[in-house]
Amino acid sequence: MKRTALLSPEEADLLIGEVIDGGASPAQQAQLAHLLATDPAVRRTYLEHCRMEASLAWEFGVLGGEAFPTEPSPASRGEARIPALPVSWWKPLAWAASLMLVATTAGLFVPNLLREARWNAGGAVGIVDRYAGGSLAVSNTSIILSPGESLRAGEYELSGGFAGLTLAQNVSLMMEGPAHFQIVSAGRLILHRGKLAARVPPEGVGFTVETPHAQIVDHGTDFGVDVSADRTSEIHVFEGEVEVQSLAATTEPLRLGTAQATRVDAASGSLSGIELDQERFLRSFDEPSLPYSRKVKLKDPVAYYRMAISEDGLTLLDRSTHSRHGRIIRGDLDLPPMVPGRFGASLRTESKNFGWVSEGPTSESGLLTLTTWIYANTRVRSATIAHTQTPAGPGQFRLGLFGDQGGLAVEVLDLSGQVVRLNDPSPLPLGTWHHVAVVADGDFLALYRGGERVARTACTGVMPLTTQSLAIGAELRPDSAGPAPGTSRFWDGRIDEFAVLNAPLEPAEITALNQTTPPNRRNKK
Amino acid sequence: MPAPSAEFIQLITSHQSRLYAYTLSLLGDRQQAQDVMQETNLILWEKSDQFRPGSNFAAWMLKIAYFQVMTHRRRRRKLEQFVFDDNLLENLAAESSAATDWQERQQAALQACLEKLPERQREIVHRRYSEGYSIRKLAGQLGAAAPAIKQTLFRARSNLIKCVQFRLQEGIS
Repeated sequence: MKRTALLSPEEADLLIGEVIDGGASPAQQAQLAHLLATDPAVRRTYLEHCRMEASLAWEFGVLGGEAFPTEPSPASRGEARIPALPVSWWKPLAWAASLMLVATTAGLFVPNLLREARWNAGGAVGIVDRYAGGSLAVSNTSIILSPGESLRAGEYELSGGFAGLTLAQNVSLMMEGPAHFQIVSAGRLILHRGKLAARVPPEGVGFTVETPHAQIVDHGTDFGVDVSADRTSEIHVFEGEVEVQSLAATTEPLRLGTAQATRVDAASGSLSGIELDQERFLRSFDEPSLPYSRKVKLKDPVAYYRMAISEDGLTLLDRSTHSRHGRIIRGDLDLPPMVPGRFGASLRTESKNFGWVSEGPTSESGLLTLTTWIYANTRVRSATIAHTQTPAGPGQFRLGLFGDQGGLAVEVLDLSGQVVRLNDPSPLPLGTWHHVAVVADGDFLALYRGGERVARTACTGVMPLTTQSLAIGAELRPDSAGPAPGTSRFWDGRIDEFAVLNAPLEPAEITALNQTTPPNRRNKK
Repeated sequence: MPAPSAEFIQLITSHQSRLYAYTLSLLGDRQQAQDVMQETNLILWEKSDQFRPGSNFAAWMLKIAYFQVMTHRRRRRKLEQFVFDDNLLENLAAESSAATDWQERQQAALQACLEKLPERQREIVHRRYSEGYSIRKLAGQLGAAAPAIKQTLFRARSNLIKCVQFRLQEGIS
């Protein structure tokens, strides 16, 4: 103990640091205890550091039931982070509740109420603009935010769908759920899981996104960040420049420019260059007003499903004047049913998502045009792009793939009630967008892909029907009430801009639709 | 048990930092300090109807916390030896309690002071407190030895203490 009296102020400081940071040995603790008992200056410094430690823990939200940094136990060493310790809240609560058998319900609300009060005490750093499906909640509280409400520093969970946020300095974020993220300040966000697309104006330069293994500092740009379930991060720059620093490696930061992307490995933290993926991030709630949509609308379509994101995330919006809105039937994946499309958003039909319109569009004139954009991941046998059905039998059209051959195929019910079939002899190329059109002009049935006619046969026109159900991306049951039982004919990919017209389009008009390109595409056809 | 009022919840919330500082200073162990802090919160909640509005909440809270620290020490005495003896504990408790209500003013000053930290210190503070990285992990990430990280953290806290004290003395927040 005599040695303790000989400690320099610096050594005493180190001892305090060891105790505060949780790494002091029993001997060091004893040394400090002796100093605290004998030296008022050390005692004052120790208490000041305890107060600052508490202030920092409060400031960064690790008090009130949140995670708290401690040294890892031997069993947990090697983990990237220290897991949250909610048990520190719940243990005494559960103990008390079971012991006293009173006030159980009230007692269990204690931590949530404290967290809510803590969150409410923070200053606003942004605002929730809008939602599409899902809900945005402050983590571990009952607070669910509505559009127009303030965002404050804290942790958030987006259950699904999309949320548009605006932070101070006009930084716009489109979050895709399921996502877990923390807003540290108006200029800093930590994305633990999920996707975001950021648009940072000049006044927001320096906005920083952290992922489990990287820090991304914006230099005035549009970029996307994706943190997958295995904690791998991807950063895609659509325009401008960002600086990416791996948190695990001590290498120089990487500067990513327009149309560049990188992946940060979850295990090693190493950076690997990858191709920019425009299809990965949905960057706007609104479908762009483009020459393509104007051309379609000029033809007064019977139905026009632009695949716009709806407020509830599950309505298939008809943008024609007829408002034949449908529903999106969710499939197997807990992911938003809308993904980037040819123009704006598209319907994600992989994993058995599909669109269903119970009172779907019909051609009452006997003339018909179908026009759409499709993207296939795989050529599922006899996969369905669009299928119509009535309780009495087939509807006016079915568009999809031809068996295992995989070329486009179309069937229409002609004026005599016979089914006329047509198919493209070439398998549909995968992994790219195709414009597809079907035209029944009263003489012929023609199939177009990429603006070119790929098949044609004689056809008197389509049988006028007053009602039929429509499925987009799936085959309907014979009673038209839903997808066929046990069907394997779902479309594996995306479908966009599906329109039904009551009149035939001319070949030149189809060519023009095919040639309409989306804005800001740099790497995809 | 009647549910505590909104005012009471606000009082508990606004004293969390002070409560943690108090239990940490008496126990010298972060995890134990957090556990006792939560136990104290529960008792405060249960006894909320005994608190007289307008009286000194901090003094009442710290009195309960002191009792909980002593209970905790008694419970754990069989498992470990506490290096802070009862006399030292009383001294620390008295000095720690003597501080006036400081949380709101200190937090406002702290936010400004964090921005003024040297970049390296600010980064380490952020990663340590916001991200929850251990000293060991921080050392690995930054290619530095663990003692160097601890030293930087200590210096960062020292700088913040000086800066906050200056701002409070000068009436800047």
